[in-house]
Amino acid sequence: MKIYIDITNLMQTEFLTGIQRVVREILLRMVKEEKYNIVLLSYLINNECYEIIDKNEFVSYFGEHTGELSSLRTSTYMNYADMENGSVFFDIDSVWNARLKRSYLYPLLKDRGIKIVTQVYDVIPVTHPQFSHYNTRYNFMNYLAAVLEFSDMVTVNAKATLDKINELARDMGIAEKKGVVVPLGADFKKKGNSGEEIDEAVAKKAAIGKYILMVGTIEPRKNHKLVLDAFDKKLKDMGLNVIFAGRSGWNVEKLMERIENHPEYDKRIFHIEGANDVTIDHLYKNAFAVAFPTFNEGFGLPVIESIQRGTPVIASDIAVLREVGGQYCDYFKLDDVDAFIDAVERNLADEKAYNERKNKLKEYKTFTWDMSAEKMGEVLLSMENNNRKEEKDIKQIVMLSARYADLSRSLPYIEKFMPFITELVLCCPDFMKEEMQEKYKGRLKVTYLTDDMVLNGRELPKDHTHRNFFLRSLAMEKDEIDDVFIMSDDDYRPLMPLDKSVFVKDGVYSAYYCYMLGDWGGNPNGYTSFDLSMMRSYEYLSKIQYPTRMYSSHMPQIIDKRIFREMLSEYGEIKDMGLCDWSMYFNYGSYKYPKMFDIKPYVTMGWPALPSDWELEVKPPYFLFENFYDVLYENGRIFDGFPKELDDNVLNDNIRKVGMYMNLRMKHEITNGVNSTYNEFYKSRRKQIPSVSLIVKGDELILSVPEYVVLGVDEYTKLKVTVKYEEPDKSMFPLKIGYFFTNEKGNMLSVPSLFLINDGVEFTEIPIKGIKCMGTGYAVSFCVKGNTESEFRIVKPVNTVMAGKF
Amino acid sequence: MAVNVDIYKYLYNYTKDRLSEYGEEIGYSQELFLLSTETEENAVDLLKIRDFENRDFMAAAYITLLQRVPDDKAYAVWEDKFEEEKSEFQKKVIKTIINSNEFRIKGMRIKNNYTEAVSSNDSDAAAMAAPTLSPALANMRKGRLFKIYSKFPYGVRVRLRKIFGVDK
Repeated sequence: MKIYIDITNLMQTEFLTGIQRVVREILLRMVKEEKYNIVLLSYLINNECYEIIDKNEFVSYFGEHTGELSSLRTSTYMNYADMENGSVFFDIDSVWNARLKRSYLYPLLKDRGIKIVTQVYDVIPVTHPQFSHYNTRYNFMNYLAAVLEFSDMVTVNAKATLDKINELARDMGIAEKKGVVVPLGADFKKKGNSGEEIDEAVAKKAAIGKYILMVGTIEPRKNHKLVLDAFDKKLKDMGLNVIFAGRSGWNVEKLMERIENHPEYDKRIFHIEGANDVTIDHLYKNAFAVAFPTFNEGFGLPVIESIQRGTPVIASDIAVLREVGGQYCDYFKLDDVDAFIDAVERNLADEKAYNERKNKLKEYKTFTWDMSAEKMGEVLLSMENNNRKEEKDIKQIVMLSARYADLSRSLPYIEKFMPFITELVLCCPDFMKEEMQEKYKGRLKVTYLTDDMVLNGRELPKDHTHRNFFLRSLAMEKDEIDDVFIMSDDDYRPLMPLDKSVFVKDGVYSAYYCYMLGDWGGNPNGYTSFDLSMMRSYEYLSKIQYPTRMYSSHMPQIIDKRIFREMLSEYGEIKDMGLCDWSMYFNYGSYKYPKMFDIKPYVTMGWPALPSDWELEVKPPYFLFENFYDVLYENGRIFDGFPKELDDNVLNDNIRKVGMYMNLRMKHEITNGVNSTYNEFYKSRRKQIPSVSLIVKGDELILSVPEYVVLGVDEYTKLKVTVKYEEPDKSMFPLKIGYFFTNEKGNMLSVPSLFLINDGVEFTEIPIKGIKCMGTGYAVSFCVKGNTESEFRIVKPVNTVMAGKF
Repeated sequence: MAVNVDIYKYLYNYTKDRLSEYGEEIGYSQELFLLSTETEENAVDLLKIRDFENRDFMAAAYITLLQRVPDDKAYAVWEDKFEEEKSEFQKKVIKTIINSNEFRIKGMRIKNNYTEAVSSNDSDAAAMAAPTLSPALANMRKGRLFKIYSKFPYGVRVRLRKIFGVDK
């Protein structure tokens, strides 16, 4: 399992404080461990992809401070589409500022079965937005919404942050997030910085007198103002100095002016910027106390850094600091100067109590960065489900059929080309069992699960897709079905000898997909039962945040009954929702058990029946199965002349059929090129896509056609048709729309090819097949008429261009 | 997989309420915030912001093209132009942003830049002024379209060039 980590921000940020320090400390440790299999990525805006970062160079640069940042780059690129199914994408940096908005990226990762783990430092830009820059607020809201919707796991540094996240989730009515608290480390010492030295100028300032220390970026949220007020009010007279160690941040111009113009600036009030770790360590150890009057934090690193060095902490009394500091801090009421001064005075007044307090700090169990990194690693590894099932022998094919004729023609192919299959479990109506028992003489042992046996009194849904999933779900309860089997419909035929490795290899199940469910547009002239099932499946899988690949690849596939049943028990309602059983099972299985599934492009010839039926999204690299369509073997069709049933010449015939189908697919791709060019030319010229538009106004039909069309000879070009309605006369439907060719004299060269448009259809397509013509001056005309009309209305575009043969 | 817009709306309202408790305004509408959910990878479809009124259009243009909320300086530049006619205002805003260094650095791609739509008269004039390449062919030459164009038979290419007013 790979762990992908986006460190774009770390690569671009100059200041390694706060979040970037955490990212550095954790990753420096994790990248050295092979068990985490980390891939570090940096996003390249111009290339719109990630560049892989060299891990060794990462350690050198960020750990040992040697080398150049440029040496981290490898010139090896990848995209989210290249990320392996079942891997983890770990967001640990301040990615709300990233170019790739997480509202964009996370759904894409989810669709690919990638687990998302997000380190959420705090939710302050939402809960205390007054402390954040307006850009940060804008970006953070987007980021947090994506985390709430898509992250599989959040890691936080304090439980208070997780509580707040889940409070928001509950208020929104969405599921709470799984989270793990990973405390941050407090140790500075690394192998790499042993060469650093204490800044003598800073050490001199620290040596002037007792001082209150604040460590961290100067920003309104940290409330440096309170310590300055306390200094002016009383700390000055108490003999205490103040040291602010940290760079100036956002929206502190007035505060910095006050500090730098203060009469005691650089005498008793000091601002130290850019101090190295060793110097900060020195400041901590020699401070009288560390002040932490912050309004809100995600963790409060200075608290534990200070405690670890034996320096008392005086902190705001807020939940997260109580959690981190426990009984080891002095707390004062939030933003109360007098309460802070009292806390300082208590420490100052009683030296014995002060020393006891310092001693007690040794009991505090601090986390080290090693421990933080290890805990973080455990969380990431836990995302991998290692629950492998033992491999069982596959000998069974399970089919749903109500048509003996179709089944009897397909079974010989299975018997011949899938020799490892010895048993057929047939889910069929009772009448078919009798026919099968009488007529089937093949080698397979047949076990029957009739509708009566499976339904057991329940009613069978009428719709085809509802019925199939319903029946299969019930059949899965039956012991007659093995734990692992091949599932098939009765019209899927292997094309050549196959062995089990097509379906399972080294215990890993093949999962053949053919589309992304979200992209399935369906029949524009009226959705089929299949289309609706795919759309429902997409909606449901999206809702439960599973990947959304279409696995209805019209070929036999391997099913693990235990996983199928687990899916049904977790999502019991899906049995009668008319979803795609293939898509539900494989998306569920591959997400829950990513190591058990190998997702691949499908390998079916005849799905689509013809390449021009619908556009491929996933290209079969080769064909192992045929989705048998009777009609393709009829007179004039692609497989005209080939036998519909198995004979002695089947292998040679299949090789020829595959060649013919591939040829047809290639021609169709060329036609697509013509279509694309046509569309692009037209758009660049006319600022709109070429389409036919039809307005049905009462009984009037107003037809507009593109200025010109470009057609492939002997190939289909699909032209979009949009239909608008203005109180249409219903008796006009179905409308007939079509096209025909004329020569230069206006004589018709072809009879009109007509298509129906039913009432309510808003969008459809006309496939126009270019004809072979000699000479020029030919044109295509479009025609339309209502159902009750006798004559067509005809419109001709200005130009028709035949694109020739390729 | 589409996002659940309700979550974004909730967070917007939540943050806005927290700010107003502190006496501050959030500074942009919920619709402007929801633009962040429609961002594609490095690409901005200007048609998605076209319907905003001038003030919000300016903010939407900054948010999408420059990837930031407009600051006081930006408002100072555009404030006195908010009452201008919509399409002219939009053209100005887009043109100004596109010509800025900040936009070049940010590297966002623009889709459907309707503010640069050319009328048929303009395209004829352009074609006459530049007889060697029409805008369409010039655009096409930039990339993969030219490869497809070059695959057509000679006669078709001649015909296509005539359609686009090349080779006068």
